[in-house]
Amino acid sequence: MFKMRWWRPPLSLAGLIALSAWQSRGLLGGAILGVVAGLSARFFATASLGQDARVMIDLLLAITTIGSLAIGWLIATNLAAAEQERGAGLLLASKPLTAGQYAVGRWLGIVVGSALIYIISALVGCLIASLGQQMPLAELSLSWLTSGGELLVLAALANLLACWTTSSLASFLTLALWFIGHSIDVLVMSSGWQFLGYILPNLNRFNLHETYVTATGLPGTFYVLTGVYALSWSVVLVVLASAALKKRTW
Amino acid sequence: MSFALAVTNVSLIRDGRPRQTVLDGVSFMVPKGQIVSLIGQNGAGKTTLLKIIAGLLSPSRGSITINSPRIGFMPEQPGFLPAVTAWQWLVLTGGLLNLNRSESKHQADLWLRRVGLHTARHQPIGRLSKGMRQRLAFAQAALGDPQLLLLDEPLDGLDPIGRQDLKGLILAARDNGTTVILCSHILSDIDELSDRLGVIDHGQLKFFGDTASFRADNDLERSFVNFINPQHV
Amino acid sequence: MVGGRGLLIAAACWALAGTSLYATNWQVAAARSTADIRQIPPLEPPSAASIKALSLGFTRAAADVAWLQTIQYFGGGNPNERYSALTALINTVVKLDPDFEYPYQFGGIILPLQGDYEDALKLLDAGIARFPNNGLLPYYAGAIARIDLNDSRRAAVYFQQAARTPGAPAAATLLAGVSLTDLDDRQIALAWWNGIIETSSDTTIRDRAIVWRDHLETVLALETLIIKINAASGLPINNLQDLVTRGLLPEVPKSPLGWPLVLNTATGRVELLR
Repeated sequence: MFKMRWWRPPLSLAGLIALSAWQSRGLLGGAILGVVAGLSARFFATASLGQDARVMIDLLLAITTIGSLAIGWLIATNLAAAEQERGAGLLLASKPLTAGQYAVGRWLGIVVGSALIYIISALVGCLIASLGQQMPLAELSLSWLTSGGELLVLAALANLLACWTTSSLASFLTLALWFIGHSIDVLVMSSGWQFLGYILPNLNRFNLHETYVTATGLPGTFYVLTGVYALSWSVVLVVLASAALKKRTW
Repeated sequence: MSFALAVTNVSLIRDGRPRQTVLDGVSFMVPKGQIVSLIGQNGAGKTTLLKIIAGLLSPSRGSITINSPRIGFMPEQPGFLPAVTAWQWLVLTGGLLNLNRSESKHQADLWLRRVGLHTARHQPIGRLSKGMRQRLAFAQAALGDPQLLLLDEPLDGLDPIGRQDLKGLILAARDNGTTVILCSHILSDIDELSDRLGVIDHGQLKFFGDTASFRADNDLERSFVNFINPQHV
Repeated sequence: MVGGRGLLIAAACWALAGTSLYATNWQVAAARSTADIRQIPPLEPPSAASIKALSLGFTRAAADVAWLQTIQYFGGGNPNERYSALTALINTVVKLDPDFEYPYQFGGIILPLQGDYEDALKLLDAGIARFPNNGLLPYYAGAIARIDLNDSRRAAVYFQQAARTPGAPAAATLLAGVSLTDLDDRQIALAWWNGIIETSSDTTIRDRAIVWRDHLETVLALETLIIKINAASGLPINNLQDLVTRGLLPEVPKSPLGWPLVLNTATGRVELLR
């Protein structure tokens, strides 16, 4: 499994899905939306327009990052899951891929396909936040980079859901689980349910902006462990997806 | 062993109310380097059998023995990711077959030329016509020179010239030692291509043997109709 | 990858995920306990209009949040500093929820302490309009006008309103009269004091009103006398001692309030010398 021979097919599958995502107009539209919204927010940040502009900056920042990110992996998930609906799955599944290779390849395809928009929104978001001098740019960039772990987990979740449902339903279910994943911390705070925060994917761990505002001097290992958390959950979900794919009939 | 494929007592029963027997005790052996056609009415089980051989479905009973390390499969309705170009699709398909990058590019170039898509290779697949996509589907099935080719309605949607070209490719593959199993409703093409014939009716293999012996003195279509529905005579 | 080995890998990763989460939570908790409180930048709240637009109809909830923000800002701040954002914060709260009564009172008390008199009065005016039965609001406004702005006219209006509103301190009645007494029209003030004397059931208030009434009558009498003398003679009265010197009064009169009286030659008014 650790040899290139094992990885070539899933990487090729990932390449197919990612190319399909990048070359489709929807993703390009999402990227343009992210850039336009981000640049607009930068304009508001530097123009002296008063208090209301500041509210608009925050809103546009949210739209830039969350909105374009959601568009990114929604489109990529749609494309990845639609292979069954469009019949491309038959062609792909007839190749000598194991279920595991298929699951890994599809997951990587969703990640890479939506990473483009994530990178754009992350760059724009970092620029805007650093202009507001809320955080030093270096630390902000690092926190955004580590937040990319959330993308890995969500892509794995979408990949798993796409094994059972239509592409659109998988996308929307993943969106709903995204919000729920950020609410796991609430469960953790409730007494008697703390264990749930550890056995379910806790997406709030990737909300590093919130963490950074209240806790200074986080060690470098914090970011490494957050990345480990993301990868671990991604592997769990990809294994589950491969089990589901093994049972799937064409 | 000189056989490419051995199907032994394969059955497929779909759970449901009522339970449906899609295939019932199908057995046959395919020698290497021959073209075998499966014919039957709609819903007879031809495509299901092809999918079982391709490994896309698991039989409820029976076994499949394949002496070919590499299989190429062309489904009845090939689907692609429409934003990807024909070139990109074939190069990455080569990767799925574990070909290295240069070999993938070589194979992609070779097969695009062979199926007549070289000039359209950088067009998104979504913009290709049905016939062009059919040819692309054949190319991706034949990529990497598989020893066993499974083709489901390969000539569907092609113009006469396209069909002639593709028939030529199928024959060339056979001449290169590839075993071909194909399903088609166009019995004149079957007659032209096939060395052996399998007739499937309601999930059962009713005939397997030389095409000429099935045909006898009639044309293939008449022979088939008489075989399936003797009262129709 | 599926089967025993796959499940083993999944289980190991699941355990690793839980462990790494625990470790990161521990790191965050440790960082919070030892680190300096991150400097919060000066608060510049957005306008009520933008919050209202973004609250999607939940303006009362937004007002509650804004109020929490206000009291945390005021409660946690440096008492040596001005609470420069306090006016904006309170205004945001009452604009989002005009029926939230307490912020008006809060602003009426706190804002004058840091010199924001007019801001306080604007806030109290809005509160008075919204809550005409709250006697505290005009009372606070009157106090600001009288004590901080030395504006007897505005104070008189506020205190009169307070005196007519239930819930206002009893002193509102007296302060209305005192403010009216400072104004030009003595008759109106006199009528106010007579009104208190006739209607008040509070003996303390009544006794005080009697004293002020007597003071006002004394002042009126003196002013009337001075006007007559100035009109009749070519030698104007420059001070109250002149009245004694010219044999018009046996001695310089004192106010029943206990303070001496003095003539303001610029205005012609007899005033208390405090």
